[in-house]
Amino acid sequence: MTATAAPQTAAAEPALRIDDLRVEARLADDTLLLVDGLDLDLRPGEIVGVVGESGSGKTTLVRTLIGLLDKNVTVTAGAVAVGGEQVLAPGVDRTEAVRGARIGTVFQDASRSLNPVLKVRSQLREVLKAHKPQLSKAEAAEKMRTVLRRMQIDDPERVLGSYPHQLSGGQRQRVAIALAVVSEPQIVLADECTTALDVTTQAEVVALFRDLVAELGVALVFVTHDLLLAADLCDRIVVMYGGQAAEVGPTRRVLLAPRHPYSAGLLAAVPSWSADGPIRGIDGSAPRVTTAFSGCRFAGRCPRADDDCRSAPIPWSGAAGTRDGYRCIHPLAAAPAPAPAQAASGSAADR
Amino acid sequence: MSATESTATELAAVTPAIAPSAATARRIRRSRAVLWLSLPLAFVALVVIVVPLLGVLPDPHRQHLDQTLLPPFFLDGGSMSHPLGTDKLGRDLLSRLVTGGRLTLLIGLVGTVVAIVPGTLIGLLAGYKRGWVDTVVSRFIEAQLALPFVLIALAIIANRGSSLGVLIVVLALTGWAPCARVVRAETMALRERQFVLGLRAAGASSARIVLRHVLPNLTGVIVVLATLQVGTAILVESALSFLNLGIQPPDISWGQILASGREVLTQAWWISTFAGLAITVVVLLVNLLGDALLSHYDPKKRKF
Repeated sequence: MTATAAPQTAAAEPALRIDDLRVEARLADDTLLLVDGLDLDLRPGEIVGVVGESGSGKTTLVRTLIGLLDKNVTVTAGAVAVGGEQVLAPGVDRTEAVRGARIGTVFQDASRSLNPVLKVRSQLREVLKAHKPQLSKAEAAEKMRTVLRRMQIDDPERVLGSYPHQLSGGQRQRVAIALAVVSEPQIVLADECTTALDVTTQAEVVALFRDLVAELGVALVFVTHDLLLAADLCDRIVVMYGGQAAEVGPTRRVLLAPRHPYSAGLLAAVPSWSADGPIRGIDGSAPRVTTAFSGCRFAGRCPRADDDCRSAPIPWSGAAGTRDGYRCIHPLAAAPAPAPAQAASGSAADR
Repeated sequence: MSATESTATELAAVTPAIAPSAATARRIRRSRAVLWLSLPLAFVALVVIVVPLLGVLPDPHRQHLDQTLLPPFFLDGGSMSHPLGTDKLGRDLLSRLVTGGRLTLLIGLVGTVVAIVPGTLIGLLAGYKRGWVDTVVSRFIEAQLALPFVLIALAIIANRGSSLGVLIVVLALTGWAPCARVVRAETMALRERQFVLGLRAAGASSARIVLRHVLPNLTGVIVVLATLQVGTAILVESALSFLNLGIQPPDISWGQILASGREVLTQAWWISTFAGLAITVVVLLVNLLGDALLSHYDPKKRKF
């Protein structure tokens, strides 16, 4: 288990800093809040897991960071800085300069994120031409082989000369990751990139990410709905719900002793070998959050909700000097950890 | 776990060893199809370009008013001095067909390029950019498709007279729209594919994505459109010649020979028949070649 081992050097400049980010989607008759008041610091060499169910704003967050939102979706408050430089704020969009160069992105399904009619070599060369134009042909070729070897591909020459459909699913995912990191970005966003893979390949990809972070010192945002994978890989976890961070903290703390009822609910919904009985899901589905929404986003599905939860916005409860904390006025006890959480993280530790 | 892994490694080691031999054979077979269909076309092209230069055939314009409507050699009254017979002015049909092939093939080729290239670019632009660009282009495509071809041809030819250049312009004006429509639709589907999102996330420019990534995905479609357009161009020329709006004498084209044979069809069926056969064979070969090229260019069909 490496989940909680990473030392956090407080002195290091955050590779990525998100302050009070708010993203809205204008519809014909409504304005939806896709991301609301999100804070995040990501240091070089750190892995942050973003977990949450579908519709919680995870993918919108990724799209926002690389500036690829739909036309009707805009940043309306807050700021994003990459390496200390502001790239996003209301009316400011300098993501084009960082996209691909300083932020690499790996998407969900690798077999669809590669161009089917171009060989791997020309796809990698494209990225290098765009971001490392100073490299000579030989240097670029060497770099492509190196990056593929780093992806645990034993015969880079064969893979470079292959079309995507000639590779296995695992190899394709590795090539997709190679495409994201060949330009040596400081930040890598992985958006559900293990979802389409079988478990053994997932484990390999996770190991690969861990090596990448350890060897190159990149900062990794690992977006997933798989809590076990997140537990295995991440230093810290952001639990998202309805566009807000429900809970943020070190992986071990969040998984062993969740404070937000939603985190606990997610943990209880994780299938497990050791726990008997059916998997307990969370009843209902994610709310449609418009600008008129008030109160706790989770109140409609929360067993602990009362009138206070529904009447006013819920303040963030966190320790001073850190971004860790939770957004709940009736939090679960800090310790001991509730039973379902223990069962879930126990099986995570077994992996 | 380790057992599974070793099995997987073994499989990985074995699979490529089996795959290439069968697959290579298939690839060669496909390339052969392309070759076998290219050869007769190349032969036709060679004949129409080279043979008139050799001087072995009689002058296609030379009239022999005492030898009109001679039948081909295999019919009674035919002779090897005019192997395919003569037309109503006593001109040698074989010589006319060979010479007329030059213009016909040229029109097929140039008429395709002038329709496919702008059609593809316009379709790519509209399909990738969407928005008002797409709206404007789509309205133009619809307007173009709504106008009967002959109407456009008549308007231009009535105004400018009939010449090779005018014919090419007519082909360009009428050919781009069907091509742009198909390319636009394919591009719209492709731009939603995840690899395009990945490319944008990797910082690729729109022009780069369209030309380097979307366009290669359209190779198959464009090859098919182009081969269809070669046939269309040749047939359009024939149809216009049939209406006396196409290639004007003394220039010769297959369509024109076909049209001139119509008046004497009952006495000399061979004139229109041989010209029609030449058109049919070339159009058929081009279309078959298009099919072969399609499987040749699609890496998924070209499994190896």
